[in-house]
Amino acid sequence: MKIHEFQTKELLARHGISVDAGVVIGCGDAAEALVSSLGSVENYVIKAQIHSGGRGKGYFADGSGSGVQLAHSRAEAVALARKMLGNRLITKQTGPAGCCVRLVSVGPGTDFHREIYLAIFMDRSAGMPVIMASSAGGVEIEERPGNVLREYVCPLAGLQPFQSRKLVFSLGFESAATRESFMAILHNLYRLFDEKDASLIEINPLVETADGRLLAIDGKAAFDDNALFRHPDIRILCDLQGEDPLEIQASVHGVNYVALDGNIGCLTNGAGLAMATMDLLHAHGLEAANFLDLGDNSGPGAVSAAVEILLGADDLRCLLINTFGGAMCGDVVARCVTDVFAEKHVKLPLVVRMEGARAAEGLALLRAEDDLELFVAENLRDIPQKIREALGAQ
Amino acid sequence: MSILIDGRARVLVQGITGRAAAFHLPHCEAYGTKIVAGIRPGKGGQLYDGRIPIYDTVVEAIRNHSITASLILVPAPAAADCIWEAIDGEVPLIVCVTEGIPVRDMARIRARLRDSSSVLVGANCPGIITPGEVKLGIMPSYIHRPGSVGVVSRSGTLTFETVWQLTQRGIGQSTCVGIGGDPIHGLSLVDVVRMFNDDTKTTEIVLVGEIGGEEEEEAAEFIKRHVKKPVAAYVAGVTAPADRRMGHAGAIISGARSGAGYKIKALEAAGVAVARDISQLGDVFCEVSHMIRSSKH
Repeated sequence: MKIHEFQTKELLARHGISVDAGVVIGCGDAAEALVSSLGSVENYVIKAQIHSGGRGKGYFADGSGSGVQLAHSRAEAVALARKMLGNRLITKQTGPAGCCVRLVSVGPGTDFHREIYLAIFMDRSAGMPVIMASSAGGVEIEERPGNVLREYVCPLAGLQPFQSRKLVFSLGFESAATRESFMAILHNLYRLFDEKDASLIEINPLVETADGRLLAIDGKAAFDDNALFRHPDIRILCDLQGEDPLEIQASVHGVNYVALDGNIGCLTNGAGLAMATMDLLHAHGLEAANFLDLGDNSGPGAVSAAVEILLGADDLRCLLINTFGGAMCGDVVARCVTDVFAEKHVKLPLVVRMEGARAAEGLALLRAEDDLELFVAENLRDIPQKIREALGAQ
Repeated sequence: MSILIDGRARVLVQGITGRAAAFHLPHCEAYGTKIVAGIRPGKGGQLYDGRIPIYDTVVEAIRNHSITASLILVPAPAAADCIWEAIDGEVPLIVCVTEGIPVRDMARIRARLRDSSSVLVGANCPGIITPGEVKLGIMPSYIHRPGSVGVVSRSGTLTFETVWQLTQRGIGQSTCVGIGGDPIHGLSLVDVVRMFNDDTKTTEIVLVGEIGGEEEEEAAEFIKRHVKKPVAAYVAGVTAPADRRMGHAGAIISGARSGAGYKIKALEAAGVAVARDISQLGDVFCEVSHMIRSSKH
């Protein structure tokens, strides 16, 4: 689960890491009053709050500026903030459709003489958190020149003082006081990462001001979905604005669903089989409308919900059931599909390939339904052909 | 011979009174798996199905039985603690089926495993089966057949798919291992490929990978250096969009190296025959298997 930049900064501040000042403005908010609360300010930085990165290099759908802009007066800051709100920001991570901006942050520009990159993420190959730091902050990680320092942290022992010293001396801070503050930031950042089950926390840049203070002026954080059950304070930071409504509906039912561009709806169990089904269709010139993994333990409620979610996609031309159940029973899947089809008067051809637990019973149930336009594939290889027959019959 | 487990296994089930156990244990027992004890804190002293003693803690079960493997079938919030308890009890083989364990907990478990003799399969996996001897997991029994092909996979349903294609062609399996779909887990693809390579009974290997992480690349490197047995493979997710989690917590493309294309190239460079789509895997396997067998004459 990703959170917004302003939420990341609030978390950092709560964990003893200094951040720059700022206010957050939504569509209905009194922008002037909020910006005025910043006091007398020379330069303003206005930033779109969306979950995707690359905001500074992005552009708005109406052609105006990027997702991070500067203003030199209060009036200009308010005008820019208003212009961003409700506008679609397109970055290299949002895709061509962009993402609608519903929140912006406005804060005073900070004078600094140095930018540092600092991040912690869970390195899956090493199986432990890794701290990454670089004295060339402010740019994307792929574009960063020079050395990026990496320090792996034993998940049992936690961050050790010597590791912080290695980083602090490599980064070359001039004053002992700044070194002390950086050590404290490392300690606090790791504690936040560990305590809240983060998968990524990034401060970019962490700036050193002329008077030697360290401030986080941009940040990004993501948390392990599997651990949200023990962090209600993190879960409430979830902002589903801009997410696909069908994907939200699926997650409520514990079903993994990702919308895709094709027109063959896929009801599958298991993440691997769901992906392999997409790949199989593509290899035969057909395109899946979605990735859907029922899981192997879903009850009838979740299966019915999944069928309804699939039917909610645009331009669907056919529904494919491809299941290989360990615990997921074929007859349960079949009954859910026929019930939803009957209830919603769905007239969509149905291609079925079922294997595993109670697959024969499931197929028998489907075959017994006179109203279904049913095409049974004997095996995986038979699926593309049966889909073509189903599409041709329309 | 087989890897990791054979018909002599004496199995402990953690979470023996739960819903998952109620569904899967009868199938495991019907397959011949010897379940000797179960764990359910608070129900120690009772019997499962009137036969199998239940204990409150793993250490008590170990005191009373000689246990060679544990099958963990508990909900996600309790699963990491159960794995830890099994490691503490020095259970040689631990299989955890549970999906949804926090990554931080798995990172700690992996660190804990380094100075332990226990081997962990999973979590978030279908388990392990040595056909005709023992089944420790949730795979449908009928699709397997005893034989000499080692199967290792990151995906549950694709393990079933692969095994079924082999069995339908009359090709049996030595052992099938689902290593699980989480980003941090126990045995890796390389670990299992190494075991199959060392196992005299295993003559060929089938590897099923998917997007995310670098395990396929590591396996390819190992195969290139050490494996003389024929290897066939399939990697799921050629059409998966980047930065989207595809069901498994670990199935996400982040950077070029975790995409399917890179993995396929690495495997092919190591001499592995990679099926372009999953429906071809059985045939691709037969081609490499036949080729190597006939070239020995």
